[in-house]
Amino acid sequence: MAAFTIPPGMDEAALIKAAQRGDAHAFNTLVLSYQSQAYNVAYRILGDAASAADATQEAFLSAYKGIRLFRGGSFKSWILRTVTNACFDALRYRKRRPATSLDALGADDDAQDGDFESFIASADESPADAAERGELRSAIACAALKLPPDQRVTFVLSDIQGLTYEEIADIMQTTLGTVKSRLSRARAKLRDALLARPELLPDEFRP
Amino acid sequence: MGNRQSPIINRQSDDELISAYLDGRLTEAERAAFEARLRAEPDVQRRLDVTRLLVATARALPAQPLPRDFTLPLAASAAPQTRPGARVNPLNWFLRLGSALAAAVFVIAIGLDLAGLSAPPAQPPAPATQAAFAAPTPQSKEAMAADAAMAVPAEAGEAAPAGAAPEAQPASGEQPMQAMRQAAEPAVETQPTPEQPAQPMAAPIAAAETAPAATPEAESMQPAVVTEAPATRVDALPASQPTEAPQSPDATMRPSESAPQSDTTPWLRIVAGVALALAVSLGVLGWRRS
Repeated sequence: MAAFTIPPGMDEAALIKAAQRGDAHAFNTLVLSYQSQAYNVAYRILGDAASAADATQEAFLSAYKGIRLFRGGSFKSWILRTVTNACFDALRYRKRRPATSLDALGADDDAQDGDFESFIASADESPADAAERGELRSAIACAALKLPPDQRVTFVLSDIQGLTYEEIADIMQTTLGTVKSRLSRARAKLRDALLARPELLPDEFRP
Repeated sequence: MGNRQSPIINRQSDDELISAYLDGRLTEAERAAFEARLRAEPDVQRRLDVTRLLVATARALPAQPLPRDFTLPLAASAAPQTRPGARVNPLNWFLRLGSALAAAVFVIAIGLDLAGLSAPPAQPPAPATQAAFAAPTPQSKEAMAADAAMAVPAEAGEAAPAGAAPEAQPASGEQPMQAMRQAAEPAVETQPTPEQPAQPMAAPIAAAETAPAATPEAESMQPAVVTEAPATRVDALPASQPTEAPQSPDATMRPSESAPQSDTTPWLRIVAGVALALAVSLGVLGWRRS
């Protein structure tokens, strides 16, 4: 779905002020502008469409209720913060109720490193089929779901959504150093998982 | 420097360098040093290459189509909200105002109650008081009659200010409670006895106004004291006392009899309690509505 763009003549700041005055139409215009990115962030963090949709809806509802607390800055970061917070809530809920955490991918949020590396190796499809169908991207996306939540969110925001360190620090309410550390660890885990399955890599990357 | 560190720390440090290098977050010096390492260490170069592939692949992940529209239903989103500068519902104003007024009543009632507590405690009646009871003056009779007509005469502490106020008010023109206390305090503390005549003292203005109603002998000593004493004592007695006292001249007021006399005013406490409950309930209601 193509990203919605704010209609000409309506700037984001005016829409935010209108929404803060209770204008639901203005808020829904903002929702249309950010819902695709919000949903995709939630999807990459949670791993399944239903949970991502629920988290996105919850995030926008929470944003509408709390939009009077928005005091300027990047509205995108503010919205994505509500989305990641909703995702963290969903992950905590899954942790309390493990039965619901296996619905989509059988992924466990708090996997150890050993489990993390075995995740790609234990995929149902053969490595040859995966390579043939260009499953590297799918393998990376699935492997990302095995990362610890903080690293996962950082990886999704940085490498999938393409946000800067500063934006991620703003969204996650942390420091640049923490973002840098979390991102390097997440990348290292994913990279090592790929190196453990060289058949998934293009020929030039195989030893 | 890295050679003195453990392999794990070295690897973490390498991972951070690789990540920062890919994101262009190294300084020129750091970048040059890292590139020199890449040329010398194929393993680091390989890790960098795979990480670069990872990042490029992740960036190329296709966006997922939206399963539905996430705009809020207008019916749900039209729920009233309290916003800075927004108009407040008139009912909310009423609730807040009512809560504030009730709180003010509570504070005033507690203040009056505490003021009553701070007054000197009642002393056992002196013989002069008994004499006054034995031969009540017309003024004291009027006061007792007025007290008997009170709607709540059984409450001793409550009746005292109510009964004294009509007398003290014309004199002072100020707060009835203060006038009553000014009149009552000399009566309690400087009660003259037959053996010990009262010393002249500066009588309160309120008490001086009632001087003409005093008995002749009392007028020569401390008119206000003697005049006010019976009225105050009688006000403080239980309901049966005011009517019995004039009829039984031998009746004496011992300390045990004056036990019901209290400086606390139960009706003030009732008012305070009701006001507090009202303030809290209205405040909570207004807060929940907002």
